[in-house]
Amino acid sequence: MIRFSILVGCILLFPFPSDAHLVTTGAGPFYDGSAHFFVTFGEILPVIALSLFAGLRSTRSARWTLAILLLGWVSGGFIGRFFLVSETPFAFQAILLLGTGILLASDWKISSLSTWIISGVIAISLGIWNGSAMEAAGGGMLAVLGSAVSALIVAVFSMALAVKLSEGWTRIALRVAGSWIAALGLLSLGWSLRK
Amino acid sequence: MMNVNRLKIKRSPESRVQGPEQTRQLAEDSGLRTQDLVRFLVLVFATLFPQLAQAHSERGMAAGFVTGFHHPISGWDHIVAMIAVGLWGAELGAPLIWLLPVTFPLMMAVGGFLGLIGVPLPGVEIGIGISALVLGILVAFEKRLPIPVCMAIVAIFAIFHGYAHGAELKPGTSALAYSLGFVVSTGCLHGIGILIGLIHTRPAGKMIVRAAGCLIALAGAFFTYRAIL
Repeated sequence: MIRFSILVGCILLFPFPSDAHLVTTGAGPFYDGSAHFFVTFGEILPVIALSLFAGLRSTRSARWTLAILLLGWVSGGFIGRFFLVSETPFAFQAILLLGTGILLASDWKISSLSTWIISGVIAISLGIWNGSAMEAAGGGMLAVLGSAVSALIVAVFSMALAVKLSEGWTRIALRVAGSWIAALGLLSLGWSLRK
Repeated sequence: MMNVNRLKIKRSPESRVQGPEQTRQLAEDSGLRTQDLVRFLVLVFATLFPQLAQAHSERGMAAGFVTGFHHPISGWDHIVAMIAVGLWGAELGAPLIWLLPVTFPLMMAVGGFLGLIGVPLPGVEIGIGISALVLGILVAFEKRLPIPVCMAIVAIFAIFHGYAHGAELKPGTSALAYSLGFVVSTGCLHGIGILIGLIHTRPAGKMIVRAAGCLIALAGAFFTYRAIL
């Protein structure tokens, strides 16, 4: 114990520089991507709706959906880097909201495989648009990774909530939330057509 | 040697198996009392008037959300109709207590969609006034209709409400955030109506809810008259 304390004390006498500034660590784009996800309703709401839906299906569906979401997002981000656009099309966001909202509201009893396929398609498409936008903004794959991690965190909490609230009136409340997301998607589709 | 008696859990009198009468009394005692419900409703109403929380929201997503949130509560004709939907749902009970708050925002979005793409819909303001009148009458008389009929009535009126809101977006604000605020605000109004309507399980509460329906119907008549003129 004494030797260990002496060893720790010696190490503390020679501290390494603590690079808190993101400019020196180079981790800035990761946090840019992470923050971008949290301030983009068109991405966070479909992820929440999809995660709630997967959680209502079964815990097995939810677990694999998490993995598919992360892999799909990162893969899509890698692909999207070769197609530079500045932002995700509004109509695409609207259709995504409408589709995921309808899925959650209807509580459609589909198989786990179908859930995973739908999750994969959504994750890859969101990843492609994210990768494209992040590359155009100069963030690269690090920013895509940041947004993917944020999506994963939101998905984990949403799925846990869905699993916990999957019985009785709380399940109905989640479906009501899905109908509101679908309504939001329909309104957004109207806005996109108006433009 | 281990003393097995020390492992026995001492059970309090309340945790013992109760007869039906005792169980019912316990449920009543531990359930929501009228005083608690009134206090909760007062708290909910107080949150409708947050005068001091004015964080900067002049631009972008925040401006869009705040604008959209304020829009359904910008006119009393919208407010009373949406609360009436919640009241009626609470009176009718499951499944309409949640089917109506699902139907209204969805069909309101359809109405908004129609307005945005330029489909003509005559008499929007008259339709909104009539919605408050009809829904108020239904609440006042505690009218029970078949589920599809109830949903159809709410759906038709919701289209008028959505059409009226659909096209009003300030330049520079986010359409998605506006729509989100709009839908959340509508849902909250329904929720308030449902919470108020839950008191109808008690005799005095039933009278209060029906009286509220009468007031909403009178307001609807006034709005309709004003829209026609």
